[in-house]
Amino acid sequence: MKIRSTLAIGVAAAAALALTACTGGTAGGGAAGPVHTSGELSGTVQFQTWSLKNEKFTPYFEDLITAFEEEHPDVQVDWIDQPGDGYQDKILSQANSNTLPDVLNLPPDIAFPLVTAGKLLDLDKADPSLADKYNEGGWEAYSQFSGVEGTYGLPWYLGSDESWWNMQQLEPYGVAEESLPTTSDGWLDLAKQVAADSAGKVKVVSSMPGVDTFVSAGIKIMDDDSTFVFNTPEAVEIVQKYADAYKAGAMPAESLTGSYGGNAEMYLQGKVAYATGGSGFAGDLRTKAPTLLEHTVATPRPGTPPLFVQGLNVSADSKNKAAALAFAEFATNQENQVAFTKLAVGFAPGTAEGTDEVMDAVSSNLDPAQVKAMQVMFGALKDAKATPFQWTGAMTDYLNQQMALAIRGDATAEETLDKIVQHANDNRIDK
Amino acid sequence: MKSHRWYTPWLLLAPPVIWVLVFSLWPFINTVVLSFTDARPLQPVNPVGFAHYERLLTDEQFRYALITCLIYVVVCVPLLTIVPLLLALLVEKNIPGIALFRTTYYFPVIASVVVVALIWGWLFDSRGIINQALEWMGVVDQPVAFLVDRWWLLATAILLTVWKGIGYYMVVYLAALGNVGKELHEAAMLDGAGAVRRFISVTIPSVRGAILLISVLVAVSAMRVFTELDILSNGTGGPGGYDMSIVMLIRQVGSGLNGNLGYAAAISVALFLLTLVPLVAIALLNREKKAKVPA
Repeated sequence: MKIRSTLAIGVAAAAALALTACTGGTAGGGAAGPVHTSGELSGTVQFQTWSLKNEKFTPYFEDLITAFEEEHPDVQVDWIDQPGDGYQDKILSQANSNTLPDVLNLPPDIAFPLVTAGKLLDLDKADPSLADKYNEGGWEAYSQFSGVEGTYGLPWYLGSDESWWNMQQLEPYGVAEESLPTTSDGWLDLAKQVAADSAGKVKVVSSMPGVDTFVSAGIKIMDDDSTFVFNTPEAVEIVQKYADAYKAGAMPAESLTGSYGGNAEMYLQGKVAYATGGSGFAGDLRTKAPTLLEHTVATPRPGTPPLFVQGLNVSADSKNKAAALAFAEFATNQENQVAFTKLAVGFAPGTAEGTDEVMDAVSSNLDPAQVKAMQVMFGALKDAKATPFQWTGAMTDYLNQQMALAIRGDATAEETLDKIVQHANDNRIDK
Repeated sequence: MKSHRWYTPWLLLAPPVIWVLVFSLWPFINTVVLSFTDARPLQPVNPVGFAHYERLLTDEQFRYALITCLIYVVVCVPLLTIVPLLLALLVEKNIPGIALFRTTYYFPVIASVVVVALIWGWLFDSRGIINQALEWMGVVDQPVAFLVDRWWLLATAILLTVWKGIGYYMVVYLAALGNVGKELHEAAMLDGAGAVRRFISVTIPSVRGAILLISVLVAVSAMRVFTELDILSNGTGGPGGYDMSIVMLIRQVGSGLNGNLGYAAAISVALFLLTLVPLVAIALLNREKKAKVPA
């Protein structure tokens, strides 16, 4: 009897502890208030990057930290770098244990749960003069968290996608560089024509439609209440066109289980004559498939180009907010961002100005294909739009699974989109 | 002579007990408790009663994952119980050069399952060597969608599991066969029993323990299959997620900064209960057989 009651108490205690085990944050929006960085700063600032401690970038960061410490002799910056894999899990564990670094690198989608848990500093309130200094799209990406006011990251470096065409595979079927399609419809029509002419040997569609496809087509992804609403007749039409292209032999079977990076990989292997990728893809071509590079042409992506944003954020729990914010501003000022993106070839600075400076500096050291790719991407940035950060990785997984059925013709485009939207709304991050 | 202090046995027991409590019992209890909550990373936790378990009954993704795992069990258990036994019988004899065959059959066990699955992915790709061979031989006109079609993908993954497991279980059977007395076979031969009859009446009863052990091990690992399906389907579980295993589903539901930890925990508890089924069934079967053995 005694054993049974002891066991019951033990289990109850364990249950109570378990129930509290994963509550790491305070509910609600981020901490706010002005933070003055102009006075004397002192103390230690922990600065965390994401897979950037290597031969290429380490000297840059060491110089950056030295320069900041010279400006603020009483501040010491401790730089830590996290490996590329498992970054989200690492952030989660840091946030749960209240050990987030003072300044850290988070893209908007990873930042969002931390913002809702009140773990990041509202930078707009901390220093209202910042907004004008940064790229508008990049600033917006950290300012439009549903249900939370404020801005929670400083745009650091930006990227976008463009279209890559293998002209060696396409020219035999009458496709010339000058006549490459500039619209999604034109591209899908071309894909079907080339597939028919080549008896399915040359494939021009390398991935399934995703949310970025719908963003690119100007379809509204969410309403004002942050409810997903992209199951529109226009989206149905797009999915049906992809299904028709698959049926015509214009898509490799592997694209139905492929990841975002998979389409570029298939291009490198010569399995497809078209891919999407950032301007850095020219560098991949040069090292992994140099013979392909000379036959490759980069053009702007049809429709609204996607915007990929990386930023620096300040922990709301930082014991040294003033020095942390000062360092985040210093690392993301125009001079330092330009210096960084000269090394991170293929990316643009997240500041309002500076892209021309980067272009001028790097163009003499790059081959013409890469220069052209960068010009195309930098030109696209002004119109580029980020995928809503409420769209999570798990939603993408579900979308890919269901979309594959629609493309294969195992489900209708309408049913598929309804299911995807229903699933996304059932699993909304802000609910 | 002074006796031991009363707490000496407890001190000796403490390390393994603490280990079990911290690394086995505590995570298990935590998982069960989480399954009754709406836990998500960085969010306050609220109890939701049996909501997650009710959702399991209607969740299409869970249904597909369950079907995939059950098919895996139904196909893998007989294949990995019978084929290694036959193979062990083949390589059991001590004839010159047999060690080469034993080693060769064991090779797949040594190789990393991740590496093997990646290589199989290349082999069964639409432009892989298997499809090219089939096209060259005129067996097919178009590449077979081994890695995209629901049933082909499942069959390819099962084939990989069986190919990789055969060597391991063959070694278990070799050990068991080494304990079978030659006199039993000789007596059966004197009674006129042929090879098949001796296999059924002498060999199988003699290695019954190994057969049961292997069945249990295969059934449990088949219910928890992950790597083969994950790598061959590029982590997607194939079109529609039809080829997703239960463990893959747990990862999809529970990972990320917005992971639904409560529901993932409920699926984990369901998986735990499902893995108990073959264990209990085989334990009952074993007891029943023992009871039938005449005194």
